[in-house]
This record gives sequence, C-alpha cells and structure tokens, in this order.
Amino acid sequence: MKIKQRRDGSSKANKNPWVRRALKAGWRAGSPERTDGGEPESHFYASRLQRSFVEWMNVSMLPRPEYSAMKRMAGAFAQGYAQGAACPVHGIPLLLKGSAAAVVCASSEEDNLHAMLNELEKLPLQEVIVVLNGCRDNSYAITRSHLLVTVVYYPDLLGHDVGRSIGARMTGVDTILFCDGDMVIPAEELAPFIYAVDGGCDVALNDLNGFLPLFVHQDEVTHCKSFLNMALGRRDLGANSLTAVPHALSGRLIRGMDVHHLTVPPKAQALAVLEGYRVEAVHAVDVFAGNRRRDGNTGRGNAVADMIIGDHAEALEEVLKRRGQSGSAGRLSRKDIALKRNAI
Amino acid sequence: MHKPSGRKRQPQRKRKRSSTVSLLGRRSCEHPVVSVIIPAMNEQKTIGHVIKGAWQVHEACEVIVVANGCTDRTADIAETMGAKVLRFEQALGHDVGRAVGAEAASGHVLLFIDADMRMDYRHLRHFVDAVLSGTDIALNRYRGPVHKRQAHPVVLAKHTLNSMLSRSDLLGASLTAVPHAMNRRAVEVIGSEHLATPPLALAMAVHSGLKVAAVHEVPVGRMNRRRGKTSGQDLLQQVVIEDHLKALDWYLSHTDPRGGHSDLGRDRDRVGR
Repeated sequence: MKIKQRRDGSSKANKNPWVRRALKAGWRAGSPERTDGGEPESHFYASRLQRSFVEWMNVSMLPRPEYSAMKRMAGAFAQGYAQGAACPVHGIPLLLKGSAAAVVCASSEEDNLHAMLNELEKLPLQEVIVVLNGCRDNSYAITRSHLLVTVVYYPDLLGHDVGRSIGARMTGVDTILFCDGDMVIPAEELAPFIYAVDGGCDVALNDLNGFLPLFVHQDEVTHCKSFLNMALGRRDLGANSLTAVPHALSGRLIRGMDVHHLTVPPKAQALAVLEGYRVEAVHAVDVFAGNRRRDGNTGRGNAVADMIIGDHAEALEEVLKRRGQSGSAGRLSRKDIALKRNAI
Repeated sequence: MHKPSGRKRQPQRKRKRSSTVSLLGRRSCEHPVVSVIIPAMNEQKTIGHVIKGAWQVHEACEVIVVANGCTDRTADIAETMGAKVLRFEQALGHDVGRAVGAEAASGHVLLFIDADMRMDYRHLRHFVDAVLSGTDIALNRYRGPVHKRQAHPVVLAKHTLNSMLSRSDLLGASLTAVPHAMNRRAVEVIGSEHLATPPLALAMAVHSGLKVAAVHEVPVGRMNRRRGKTSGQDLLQQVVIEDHLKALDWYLSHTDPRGGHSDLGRDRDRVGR
C-alpha cells in the first residue's frame, strides 16, 4: 500500500485527506464531460469546472479556508477534473461568493497585453475592462481578439491611473482586480487579491515590503508611501500602496467612494483608511523585476516619481483637512514634553 | 551605579574649575558675528562643556543660554562661563528656547546647539563657515539610523518632508536636528517665533527661496543624552511628527494641494460625472 502511494508523483500532496477528496470530487465533476462531449464554449466563470468547484467547496468545507489551503484544493480539483474529463483544463477555479472583474490600463503595450489577457482569462472573471489610451500600436486589435474583454478606447493619453477610475465606474461587480498592461503576472499570483476581497477585505494591496532594500537605499517614493501609512496610523502597512499593482478593491468601496479618487491612488488609500474600510496587504508579487523601464521612470527625481510624490501630497492634504475639521491636531503640548524629558 | 538618594554626587571639582577659570575672561562681545544659542533645561552636567566649545566657534561671538524651567545650577554655571543667560522660571517647551534665543541674538550668524550634547567645536565651525560664505541655512547632514528596513518615524518624516518640498537632495537633513546655523536674513524671513516648530521653519525657508544646504555631518544620534523610554521619548516622537504634518499643511496651503508637483498631464475630466 505504502509503495503504491510513493510511486505516484503527487503522493506528497495526497497525504492530505482534503486534497485527496478534492481530486476525487474533481474527477466526479469532470467525468460527465467525457460522455456528453463537453459544454458549449463559455467563459470560465460560468464553466462547469468553476461552478462545480464552488459548489463542492461550499458543501464540504466550512468555514471558508485560507487562500493557501483553497489554492491546494483548487489545484487538486482541477487536476481531478482534467482526468475525469480526459481533456486539459485552462483556468484556476476559485471559491468566490460574489462576482469579479478586472480593470487593465494599457497604452501601447502590444508585447505584453496578449499574454496578460490570457492570464486573466484563466480566472473566474465576469468581465475584463481594458482601458486603452494613446495607443500607437496594434494593442486594440489584440484586445478585441479576447472574448471576455470590453475595450474602452481613448486615442489620446489620459495620464497615469485615470484609466482606473474609468474602468472602475464601468463595472458593477463585487470584486475588481486592477492590473497594468505592461506586466504579465501569472493568474496564480492574481487570484489571492480577488480571494481576499471576496472574503470581506475592501482594499487588497500587494505586499511589497519584503522586496524593499534598507531605508538608506529606498527611493523617495517609498518614503512617501511609508509616511502616508504612518500618518494614517497604519504603520503595519509599511510602504504598501494602491499606487502599486496588482491590487483589488471591493465593489462596496467603489460605490461608496467617488471613483475620481482612484486616479490619485494614495488619496483613495487614505480615504479608504479614514472611512474605516478594511485595508490589508494580502500577497506579495514582485513587480520590480517586471516593470517596463522607460524614459521618465528611472533614476532619482524622475518625472513619474515627482508625480507620485504629488499624489502623496494630495493624499496628505486630505488627511490634514479632515484632522483640522475633527480638531484632533496639535493636542500635545511642547511644555509637557520638556517637563517630561528634562525635569529632575 | 545606584546612588542612595540624598547623597549628592561630588563633581570632579578640580577639572571643572580649571576649565572655568581659563574662560572667565571670555564675555560676549558687543558686536558679535556669531550668536550661539543654547536652550537648556536642567543640563548642569554638560552645559559647561558645551559653552566651552561654543566660545571657540568664532573670535567675535556671543553665547546665549536660554535657561528655562531649571531647578539645578545650569544658569549659574552658564553665567560664570560668560554666557548671556536668559532665565525663565517655567519650562518654555520643546524647541521654544530656540525662538526665544534667536529673538535675543545680535550676531550675523545664529548657531543652534543643544545643551546636552558634548561635541568638538570644529564640527560647529563648518556650519558657521557655510553661512558666512553665502548659505542662508546650514543643516546637519546626519540622516539618523537608516540602515534598517523600516526607519524610525521621525527619520521617515524628515525624509518625506524634504521630498514634498522638492528638496529630496537634503535627504534626512532637518532643522529639527542640531547643530544648524542660519543668517539673520533667514530668521527675519521665517520669523523667529516659527523656529519653535523646526519643520515648519524649514518649509517656510524652502518656500521663500532661501538657500538651504546640508553642509556637514555630525552623527548626533550617538551624542544625545540617554533618556529612558518612559521620560517622554514617545511623546516627543509624536510632537515631532505633529510638527512635520503642520509644516506640510502650511506648505500645501501656500503652494497647491500637490505641493507644486506635476500631474504628468492627467486628463481628470475624462472620468466624467
């Protein structure tokens, strides 16, 4: 018996009874496909794999598991499904309660856009909104070739992050994932953000703290991000920011907040914290390595850095304005400090 | 070592007297070039040493000790050493002594130091020399402990304020830290009362186009008097953060909500109503 288990390549994972059960359930869900020849072409979110996975998880696993556990279940279930259906599956089933969509901002990114959209199509998303602006290449045709995609096309450049506001207001789903078209991020790395928001988080940030160098080598933008979080009383967030992608927002937040603020991501983050939304760093995706380097976004004091500093100024202005209104500023007396420190 | 209460510690009389005597002749001169401003509250242990160093900064200088809320011999020691002593029975408050001292100063260059920091006078000369040769405000280039992932909140605040002021070249240099020096013009432009809120003073200086530079590094972190965490260190941190926010507030209300930073051509109206 033992020997038989060892022979299988995935025997290690199979030690977990839940993984074994997921594999079996997947097989059961997939086997009808072998006889009825599969379902008609449909989007992944409506596919039998996704539906049967959610169904099975809801019946057999309560409460909702951590992402890592869910991911193993999903992997095993999909594997079983593929064996049962005797055909490969394209997609990662996710345990979702609500609906999800993605907003991709892009401008002349034909090299990466196709691959990026392929990754998004592996996720159970109801729609993908691609905001194209100022494209001088074939991006539009590439985008149109993807069935799930709604294209919003602007012939001129909109400027940084304006597309996020435009995309966000076009969708009414419960979870919105935000990505850039210039970076291909595997679907497995995007799923945790969707899963976190679906589970009750409002702002699911990319946890970049682990990739940061020592403070002395950090750039000014990182300093601004950390300072904003500190001023918001969220030092635990470190330098994590809505400025960075990928991240996901809840529909609750999008509907409750003026979508215009998403154009200035740090301001949206400040407002989210101030208004009591759940802001968390949920998963780490290294975007430093993949980010396209162009003129204007490299080196200290570059134009993009200056803009992001301005965004943080705008966010802090909002924080200060609200503090002024609530009268919580300047309660500490300099004299008390002196007395505490220097009295004998 | 723990000393039973009631037993006063005997100062090293011999050494102290010899140093005082040699400087007794030193009096603040009538038309000083440099005014050294030293706010002090109960610093009898170090004030003598600090004044001694201050006298050596320039030939024509005055030393102003703002003795506030002192219950020890700080003011007397300062007087004996020839400093001009401004006595305040009540504590003035953190950094308020700087504003009061600046008000009373008559030199062309104002050098600000702390009464608890023993430091070689040669360090101080760099700041005075920079101001004498055209800099309006000469800051300490010390950045604080920066060899960590997450820096101290105060260090972070200083760096961020400088970035917001479009002066990220100053890194963590700040008016909050001593030593720093400025000329009379800078004091007038900023307004001496604002020196009590150093980050605000820095924001005003940068905004009004004063020449601000980080000229020399004195690692003051190690020289600070060691105080227990309980003695208001965390409160002080809050005040300093508060100061930085105040500075930012002032700066943003005197420039624009983006602090004069570019929007890189964002077409914000395209989002629609």
